[in-house]
Amino acid sequence: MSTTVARDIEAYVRDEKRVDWHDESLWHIRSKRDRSTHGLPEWEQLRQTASQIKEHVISKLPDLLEEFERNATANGVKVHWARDAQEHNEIVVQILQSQQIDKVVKSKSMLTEECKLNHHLEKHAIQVVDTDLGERIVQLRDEEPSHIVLPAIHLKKEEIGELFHEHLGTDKGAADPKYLTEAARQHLRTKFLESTAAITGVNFAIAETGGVTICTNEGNADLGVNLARVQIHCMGIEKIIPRWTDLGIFTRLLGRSATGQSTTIYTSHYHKPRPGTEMHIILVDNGRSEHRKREDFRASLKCIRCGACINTCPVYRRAGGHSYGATIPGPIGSILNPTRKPEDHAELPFASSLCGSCTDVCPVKINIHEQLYLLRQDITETSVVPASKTRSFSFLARILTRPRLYRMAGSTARWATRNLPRWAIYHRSNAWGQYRDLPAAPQDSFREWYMKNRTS
Amino acid sequence: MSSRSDILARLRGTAVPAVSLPAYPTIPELTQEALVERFRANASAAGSTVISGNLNWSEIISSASPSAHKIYSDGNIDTDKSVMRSFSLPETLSKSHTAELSRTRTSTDNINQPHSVLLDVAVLTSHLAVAENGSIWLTDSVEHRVIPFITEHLIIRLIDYDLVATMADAYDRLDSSLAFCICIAGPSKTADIEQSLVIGAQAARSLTIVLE
Ligand code: SF4
Repeated sequence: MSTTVARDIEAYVRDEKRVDWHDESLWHIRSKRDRSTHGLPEWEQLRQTASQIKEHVISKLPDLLEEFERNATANGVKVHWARDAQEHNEIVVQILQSQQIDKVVKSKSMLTEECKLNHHLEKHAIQVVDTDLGERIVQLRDEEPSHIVLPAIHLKKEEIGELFHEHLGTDKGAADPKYLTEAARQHLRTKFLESTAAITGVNFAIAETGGVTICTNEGNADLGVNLARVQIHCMGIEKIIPRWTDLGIFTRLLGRSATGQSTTIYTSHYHKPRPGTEMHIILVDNGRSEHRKREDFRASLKCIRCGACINTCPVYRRAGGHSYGATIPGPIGSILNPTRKPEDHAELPFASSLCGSCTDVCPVKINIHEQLYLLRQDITETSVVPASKTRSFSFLARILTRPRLYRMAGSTARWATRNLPRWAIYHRSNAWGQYRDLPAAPQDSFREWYMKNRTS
Repeated sequence: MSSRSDILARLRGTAVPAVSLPAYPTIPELTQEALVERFRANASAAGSTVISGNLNWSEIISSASPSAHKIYSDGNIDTDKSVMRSFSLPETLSKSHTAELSRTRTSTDNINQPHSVLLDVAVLTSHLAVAENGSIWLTDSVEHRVIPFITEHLIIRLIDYDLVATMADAYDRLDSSLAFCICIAGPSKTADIEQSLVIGAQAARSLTIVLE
C-alpha cells in the first residue's frame, strides 16, 4: 500500500471518528435534557402554557411592543426600532459614536449574528469582543458559531489550544479545558475593564414592566453591562412576553431544554440604567413581520432559541452546524432562514429526515417537522427552477467547496443512505434516486435504527 | 414613515386570530423541610457550597479564598482575631472597613475606575432562595451591580429569607418594579470546550451560601 493511500485511509478514519464524536457530544446533551425534564411532573403543562403565551404574543404583537416601549421609556430607557439588519447596525454605531466609544464587549446574541453586526462595527473602527467563551473562540477563528447555544461545539480542545497559543499566548500543545478557560478568563477580564459599552442579546422582554431578561452560564453579559456606561440590548420583536410572572414559565423551560440544567446560572433582569449611565433597547424586525403573515409558518416565531431541536436532530448531529450555511442551523434554522430568505436557503427544509424528534422536544411546542414538510412543498411549488437541482445541489455544493464541512457531511451522506427510509432518499427532490437505487440501501428502517441507537 | 410606524403598520396589517393568555399550572406544595432538602441538593449539584449552623466567618472567608485581601461586605460580620490577622484584616468586617481596606469605594461615581472593584471576596445578603435550582436572588440593594459578578468568590448570606419551591413562586414574590434583579444559581461555569464542565468561567469562581 502506498503511503499516500495509507494516509488517506488514516485521515478518513479520523474524520469518521470526528463525526461520531460530534454526534455523541450532542446526544449527550439531549440525554441530559431528558433526565432533567423527566424529573418535573408539570413539564407538559409548562410547555402547553408557554406555547399559548407565545401564541398570544404573536397575535397581539403590535400592542405588546407599544406597551413595552411605553414602560421602558418611563424607566429611562431609550427604545429604538429597526426595520432591518442595516438599520439595526447603524443605530448601534450611532449610539457608540455619539459617545466616542471605540471598544465594546458583546455577549451572545443570535440577533447580532443575524445582522452581521461585528463586521459593521469593525468597518467603523470599533473594536468588538465577543465575551461568551464559545463565541470568543469562533470569533478568533474568524468563523460563525456552529450552534446557537454551544457556538464551538464543532471544535476539538486541541484546536482551541492551538488557537489560544496563537492569540492568547498559552503554552504550545496545551489543551486542558480548565487551563484554556482560565486563560480566556484573564484575557476577557482585560476586555471588560477597558470597554465602556456593552451589547447583549435578550432572552425575554417584558411588556408589562419594560425590562429585559438575559440568561447566561458564564456571567459575561452582566460583567459587560455593569462595568459599562452604555448598555445596548438588541432583540428581535418576537422576544416580547406579556407579564413579569410569565418568566416563571419560561425560565423553567429554557435551561432544562438547552443543556439539562434546572436553570441557567445567571438570570438577570434590567429595568433601569444605573445612575449616570445609558440603557438602549433596539427592537428589530428584519423579516419577522413578513414571516408573521404566513399562517403555516407563523408558529416558528414562538422559538426561545433553546437549541433542543438542534441537539436532537440526526442530520445536524452528523452534518455539523456549518453545513447549513445559515446563522441558525438545525431544524428551526431550516424554517427561519428559508422563510425569510428563500433565495439563499431554499434547500434547507430538504436537509431533514422529518423524523419529528425536534417537535417532540420543543419547549414551546412548535410543529417543526410539519412546517419543514409544508415548506418543502411551498418551495417546490413557487420555484421557477426545478427544485431537485438547485436545492440539493447548492446544499451539496456548499459542503463540497468547504473542506472542513465536507469531512462531516461526506460521512453524513453515507450515513443517510444507510439510515434514512426510502421515502426520505427517493423523494422528488432527489433526481438521482428516481430511476435507480442508491447503493447500500438501509437494512433497518430509520425508525428502527433510531430506536436502537438513541440509547447509546 | 418612521421605522416604528412602518413596523407597527405591517404588523397591524396582518390579521392574526386572537389567542387568550393561559392560566398558570398549579404545582403541589412542599413542606419547609422538603424545600430545604431540595435547595441544598440542587445548590450542591450546581457547584455551590451550603453552610449553616455555627458560623465562623473567618473560616468561611478563608475557605472560599485563603489569600483574600480585598473583601467587600454589605453588612457587619464578626471575624476571628487570629485568622483575620493572618489576612491582615480587621476583626469586624463592616462596609466602611472593607471600603478602606480595599481602597474600594464601590459606589456608582467611580465606575470610571473599574479596577477598584476587583474584589477577592464579596459577602452579600439575599432574602429569597429557590429550591428547584438552588438559586438565590439579589436586588438593587446591592451597592454596585457589578460586585456579584466581578468578585473572584461570592458568599451569600440568606437572612430572613423566603425559600420557595420554583422560579414561578419567586417571580410571584418579587417586586417587578425593581430597577435590577438577578437570580444566581451557582458559580460561573462553561462547557464550551469539548463539553468539559469548567467552574469559574468569567464571573465568581465559587458560590458559598450561608443559611443564617
Ligand atoms: S424551535 Fe423549539 S426546540 Fe428549537 S430552538 Fe426554538 S424553542 Fe428550542
